[in-house]
Amino acid sequence: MSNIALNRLQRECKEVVTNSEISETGIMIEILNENLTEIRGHIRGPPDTPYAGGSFDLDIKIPDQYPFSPPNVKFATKIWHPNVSSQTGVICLDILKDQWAASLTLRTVLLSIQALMCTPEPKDPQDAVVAKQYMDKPQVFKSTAEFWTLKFAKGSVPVNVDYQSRVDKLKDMGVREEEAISVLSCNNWDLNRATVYIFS
Amino acid sequence: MPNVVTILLQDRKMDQRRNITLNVDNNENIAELMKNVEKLTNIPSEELEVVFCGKKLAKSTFMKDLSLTPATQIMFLRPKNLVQLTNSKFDSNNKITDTSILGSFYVWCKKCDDVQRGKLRVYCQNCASTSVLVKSEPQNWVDVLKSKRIQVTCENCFAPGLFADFKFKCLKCNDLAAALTHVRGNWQMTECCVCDGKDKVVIDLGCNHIICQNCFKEYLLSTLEEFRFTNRPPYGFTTSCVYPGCNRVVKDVHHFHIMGQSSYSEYQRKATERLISIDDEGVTCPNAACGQSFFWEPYDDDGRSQCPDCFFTFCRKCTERECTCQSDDDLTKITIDATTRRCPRCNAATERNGGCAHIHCTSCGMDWCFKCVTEWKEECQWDHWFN
Repeated sequence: MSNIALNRLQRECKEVVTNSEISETGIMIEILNENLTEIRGHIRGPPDTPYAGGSFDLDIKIPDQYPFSPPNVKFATKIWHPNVSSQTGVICLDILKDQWAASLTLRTVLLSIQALMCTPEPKDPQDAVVAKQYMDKPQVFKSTAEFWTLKFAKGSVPVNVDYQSRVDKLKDMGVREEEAISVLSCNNWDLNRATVYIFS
Repeated sequence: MPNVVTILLQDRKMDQRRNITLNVDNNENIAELMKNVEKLTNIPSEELEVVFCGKKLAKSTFMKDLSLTPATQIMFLRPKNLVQLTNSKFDSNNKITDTSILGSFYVWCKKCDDVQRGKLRVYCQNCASTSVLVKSEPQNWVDVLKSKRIQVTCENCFAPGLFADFKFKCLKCNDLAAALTHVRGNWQMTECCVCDGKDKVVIDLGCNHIICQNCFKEYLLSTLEEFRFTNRPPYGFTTSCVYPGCNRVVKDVHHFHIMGQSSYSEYQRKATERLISIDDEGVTCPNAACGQSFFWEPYDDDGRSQCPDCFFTFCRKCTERECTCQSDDDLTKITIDATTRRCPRCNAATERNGGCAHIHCTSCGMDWCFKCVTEWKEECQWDHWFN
């Protein structure tokens, strides 16, 4: 990694690792290795969204050409969002691709992702299934995203008993909980279709 | 510090001209230089005008501010009628000789292989003499970079309707150099928007988003690695400001010399290849030892071309010496048809090796649909995002 990159990252880490930053914006980073190529980001789910109360982790990998190439950022915590793959956590955000600019920082990236959690952009989706649900069945989308926040991001909303009972039914058939939630969510919580999908 | 200057004395009163070489002290001013010339020639200094860089110099100008070298010529003019020139409106206006670090402009000097402070020199477009006076002062870069912008009168050839011929030189080695219009002094001491450093000499694409030379170099090198330069006529393959959302581009490829000579050559080679690949009449020699790019002549064509460099003759379609286009290799054809398209805007050959139908052209930046081969639309998003 070049000197520019190292100096930049050290400065950026200081910028994000302040108490005021955590209390004001709810973003934080944690350095995972000495040469600063692997960083763990944390975003607190923004209030008044289905992600409220959740704690989301992100894997950040710094490429050799940083800051002239964007950091590789994906959700480590599973999240139900039109611009994030529900399977892999890959994020579709312009500044992480061709709109990246060398003057952007880890702080601005995390704040942008937090903003994306507040306002999804279904017209440029990463996960087509989630995007379709967001457009066609906004209520189902909201409760699904809340359910995911509770299950995977240590959210604090009361559990959706109806959803949980369907997950439990699939679990009784020997399906892992994570897969059960995923398949039910993709099928708008239709237990029959989810069952057919898994066992056919 | 003593210095040698060459003086061209144009004596209109006596209709004579002569060359004088003088030792001068850099801490002297023009008034003192005029006294020295008076001693040598017996021409009263009140009758002399000193013309340099297209302008009449003020008597208070110091020699050290003129960036002189032994090859520099200063014109001393003794007019027939003195009144004419003393009325010159450039009397005390001497911007060109301001050469402090922050106020200077910068050049790419090939000899020094570096960015250097530059100096501007003006010549007669007709006789290349330095004995010229500009009729109006250049106001911006265009005035000095484009020809036929600034009119001059030449005391050497007196041709009518003359224009100035501006040349840039390296202040360090005096060689001709290319002006770098985006490099400037950081007079406000603004922070580099990449590293936060405060360098004295910075790059500004005209948007005031400052980047220091070192970061600019790293930025260019990383852009070169994946060749993310995009074709922006009339500037050619260039790159934009590092600030998010800023679309200002590097308007002169001379700035890419900052990458260093070998990287600059690589940039030139790749840009040529890219340009050839998007031109229907461009072709790259398939001979592995050659790789020359050239344009084929559209007339009298049998689909074959000969490389002008290594004389390898080949079919342009299959790039083989013995054409294999007619052979029954359907599988190759099917694969090529299924996986490749050309960008609808810039014609760049594009292969899709996975992912959705949304293609972002790395050559021209267009977003297009691999299925429709037109601009990416919302319908594409919903109807055939994944085919």
